[in-house]
Amino acid sequence: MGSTSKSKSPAAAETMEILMEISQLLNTGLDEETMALCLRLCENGVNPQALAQVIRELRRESADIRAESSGGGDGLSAREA
Amino acid sequence: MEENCKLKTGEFQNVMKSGSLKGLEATRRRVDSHPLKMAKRKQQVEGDMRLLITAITGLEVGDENFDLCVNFSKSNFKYHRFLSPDSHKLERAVEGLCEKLEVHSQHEKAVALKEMVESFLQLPGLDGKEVGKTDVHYAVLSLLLELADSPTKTHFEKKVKDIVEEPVDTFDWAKYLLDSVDLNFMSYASSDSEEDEETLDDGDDDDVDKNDVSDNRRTRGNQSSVQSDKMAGDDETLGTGYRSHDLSRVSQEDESARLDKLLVVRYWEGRSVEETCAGDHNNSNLIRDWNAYKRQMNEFDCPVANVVVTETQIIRETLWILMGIPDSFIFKHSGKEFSLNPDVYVMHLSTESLECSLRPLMRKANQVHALSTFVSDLVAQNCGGDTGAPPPQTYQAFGSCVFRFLSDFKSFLVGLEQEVMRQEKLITLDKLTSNLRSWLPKLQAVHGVYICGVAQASHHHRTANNCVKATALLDTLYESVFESDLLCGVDGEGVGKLLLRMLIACSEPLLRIASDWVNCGHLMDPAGEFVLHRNTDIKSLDETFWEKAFVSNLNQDEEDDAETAATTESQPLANVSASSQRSGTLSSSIPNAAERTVCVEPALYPKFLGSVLGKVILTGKSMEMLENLGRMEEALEIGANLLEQPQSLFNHFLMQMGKKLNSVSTSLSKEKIPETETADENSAIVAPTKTPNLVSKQLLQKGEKDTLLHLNFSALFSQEGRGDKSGPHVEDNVAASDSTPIKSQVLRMCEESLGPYVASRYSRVCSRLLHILKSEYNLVQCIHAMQRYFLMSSGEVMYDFYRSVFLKIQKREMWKDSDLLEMFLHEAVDGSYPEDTTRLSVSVVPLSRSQTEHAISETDCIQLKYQVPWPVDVVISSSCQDQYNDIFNFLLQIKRSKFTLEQLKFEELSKKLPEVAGLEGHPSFSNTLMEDDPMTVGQRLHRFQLLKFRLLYFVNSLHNYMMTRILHSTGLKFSEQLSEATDLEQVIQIHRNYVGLIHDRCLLHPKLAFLKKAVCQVLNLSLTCSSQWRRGIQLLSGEAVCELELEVSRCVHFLSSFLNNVIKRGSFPHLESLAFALVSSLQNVPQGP
Repeated sequence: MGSTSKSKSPAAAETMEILMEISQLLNTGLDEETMALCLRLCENGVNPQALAQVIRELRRESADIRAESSGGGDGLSAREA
Repeated sequence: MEENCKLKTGEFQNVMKSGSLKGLEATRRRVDSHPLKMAKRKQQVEGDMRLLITAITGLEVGDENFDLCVNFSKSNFKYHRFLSPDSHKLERAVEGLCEKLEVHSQHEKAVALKEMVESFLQLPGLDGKEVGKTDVHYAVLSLLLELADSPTKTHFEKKVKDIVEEPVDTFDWAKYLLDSVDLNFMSYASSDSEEDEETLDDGDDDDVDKNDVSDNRRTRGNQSSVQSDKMAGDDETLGTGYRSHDLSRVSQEDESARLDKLLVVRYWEGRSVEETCAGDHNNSNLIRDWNAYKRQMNEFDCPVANVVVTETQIIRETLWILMGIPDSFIFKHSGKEFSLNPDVYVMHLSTESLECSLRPLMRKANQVHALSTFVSDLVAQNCGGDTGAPPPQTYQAFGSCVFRFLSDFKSFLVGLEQEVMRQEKLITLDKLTSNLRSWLPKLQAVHGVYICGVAQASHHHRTANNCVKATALLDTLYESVFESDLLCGVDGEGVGKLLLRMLIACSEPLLRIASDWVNCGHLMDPAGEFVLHRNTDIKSLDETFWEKAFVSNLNQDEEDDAETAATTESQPLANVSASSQRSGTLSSSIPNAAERTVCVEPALYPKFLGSVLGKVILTGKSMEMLENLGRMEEALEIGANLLEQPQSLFNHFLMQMGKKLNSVSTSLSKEKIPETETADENSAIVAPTKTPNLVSKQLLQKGEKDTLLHLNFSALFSQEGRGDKSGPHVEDNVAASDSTPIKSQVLRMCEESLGPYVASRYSRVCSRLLHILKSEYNLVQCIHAMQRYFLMSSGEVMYDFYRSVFLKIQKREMWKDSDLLEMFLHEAVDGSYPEDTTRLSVSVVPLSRSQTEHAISETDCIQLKYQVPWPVDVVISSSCQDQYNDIFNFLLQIKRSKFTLEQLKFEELSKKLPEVAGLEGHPSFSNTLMEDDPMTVGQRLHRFQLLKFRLLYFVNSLHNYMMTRILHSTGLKFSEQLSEATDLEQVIQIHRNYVGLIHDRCLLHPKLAFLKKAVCQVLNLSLTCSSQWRRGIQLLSGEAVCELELEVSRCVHFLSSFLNNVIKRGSFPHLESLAFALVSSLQNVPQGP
């Protein structure tokens, strides 16, 4: 499952290639692996808008967590100083 | 499970192939709704979800947040309120996005997005289907659109797809399938030629290969239809390219070999080889024998040249240097001249003989290079020499002619070079020289003109102005044409014609300047190359306008020297008289005309224009005067409008030359020149017939007529029709065909062509000016007034004046008062010429001690002034009035002496002693009795009376001589000359000569001061005599009488002997009467007491 799309048939590779180009053009921020996952999820019936919402929320939360961890660490070091 | 799924997929495919959509959808639902499938799908979704969370957040399984994310995702996937993706909405969204990209000027992105979306939607394979545009397609598309983040701000570059080369199937399917069955099913040809079979076989193979490729293509077409065309095309190109690669390799080798044969060996890199240049004949390898011989003579001799070239290469490079290209391998240019490259040799000639044969051509190339350099310097305006001034227009005209000649020569050389390149005919150096035979003499002539007329002039006169340069060039051309004129019988190459064309073209600037001057009155000479230039310090209304308004284009130092040489006063009487006698014969030739107005050295006017330049100058000056008088229009041609441009002198000259040279060129010139210029010489309108009728009609409407506009339209259309603003071309008019031999005496033709135009302008303008001066400004009346008052031709008027003055002097009353004298003069003049009273004035100037040495010189302080109005003061200038005053003073002396003597009465002299009563007892009384005087009173009386009459005779002789022989006869001659004068210059000169002549003959020339002194002594003696007379004879001793007699005799004797000596030489016949009178006055003169 974790294998990249390159191990699949050339048709799938072509599909992935086009999707990646569209993704790059639209600046979605999806890499190949994520794109493949999203593709499989869509093939399995997941609603794309719901999926998009999940991805946005996950990105936002992870960005917040990262910001907190890096900002909290700085603040902690400042307090310690 | 998977097998079932695969089987179902196969059914699914079968249903697809059957094309039943309903069945397709129903089958799909059947497959999807299978519980196992559902469960598997759930697992897949969950698994993918976890992977997605890990990929996005980076959280791992077991993390607290990870579970939160999983739950979040699950709930969102299950419980959402989003609708299923709508294909139409999505397509509209994509279109809207493309439009947005277009609006943001990202056309490439929009096109790429559209293409990619279309490609993606067409891709099969998603959702297990072999068609595009499935729900999954739109779902993925919807996902991407939802996740899109400012696509207008991203940088996108479309990836260039690498074309994957598919392996060409080389398996011989035909053979395999046919199983070596020989079926000529493709062969329908009637002949059994091997070629047909071969081509058929090749064609079969090709066809089979192509079919195979297409089959392969078809099998993949369903999966990748988008790429199939490209790949098919790639296959084709690959298939043919594979074969063409071999072919191209072979053809390249053939091409290289062919090029090697066609291209010149790079001999300039030393790649030529003797073997390729050597010929078969013994004489074609002379250099080897010659080098062997030299080595034999001198074993240390080694040839310098090491690059072999062919004669063709030498010819080509010779042609290049003749075209003006300085850089070549065979010929080296040192900056001044070409020389043969010592490294070069040919097989069939020794280096010395090669150099000898090329030397004449190299000399010609030097000439071409010099001329080309001149032209390029001219264009860059570097011909100004040290002064840095722009080159004269004459130089520019010459440069244009040289450029045209060089261009024609170059065209000829290009033709020769093409002939050499074609290698159809054998061309040798000798043949090249003979081909150039028609051009080389012309080149020599042009180069000679350049050297003598331009280079040497610039070298000798580094600071020379443009006038000197232009004149030098024109004179050189003139001499060249003259020489060629002499050789016209043997000039088969047209050198004379070429030089004549150049002369005419180079004379254009000066002729146009002259034309503008004589037609418009403005001397417009931007380059300062004309003979004269306008002296802006002298205003047009100045009395010195005619003399000083136009000065020669000399340097100041040279001009001072010229003026000093021309106006030297160290001229003997003979020269003065001789110059005076020339006054009435003013010729229109330039030396006389120019020298009288301005000191112009003969070298500064071009010989070509020498015949007309005098009249041009006079006409030009007269035009400016007419302009200042506001009477310019009277100087134009009859019927012409002031706004219309008269025909230029240069155009007229060209036409006349064309007519004179050959009749053929005349007809050509008439075709090319607008009709009106030839039809009506008086009309100055240029080609009105070519103006469109509509424009003419409109301009002629009432209220619309505008002459200037009409002229501009006419000029515009005539220029368009003519195509050249400069009017007739030199080449059109001068020798239209090269086959027509140039006529002899061409220079005389030039003069005859120029002469009539200038003569007509001269006669019209100058006569008009003279007429205006005489009729409206009373020139002649002013001159007569000067004669009346200064020369005392109106005796009765001036008698009244000087009588009043002399009486005042006699009575020893105050008379040196300007107002008093002016009153006397006005009273005398008022009766006869009342109009002159306002113009006449008298002033008293102080005299130096030397000037008042004699009592007779007392009246020299009286200076008359006649107010001469402009423009008459150009003729009667202040300097002339000074001369008039000198003559007046001398005449006044004579008049005074005469008056004084005539006033004496006999009774005054013979006053008896009682009449001097009161003198008894006076100390001088006893002296008056003259008891000791050997002469008696009667004797003294008689002698003194005789003395008085002698003096009176002398004074009367002198007076008569002056008034009749000098003033009257000279005046008659002067009037005659004045009436015959044709221009103002002649009038000025005649008047100046007239006044000068009288001035000289009144003994006022400095060289004749001794004569005048003697005359003044006699006149002074008459005053002494008269004062003695009034005292009475009683107070006059015999000794005093004798002294007076002696003094008078001495002076008269001196004068008579001097004059007789002069007359004996036969120089001055007018002095005969005076000399005779003086001689006869000496007769019977008592000698001593």
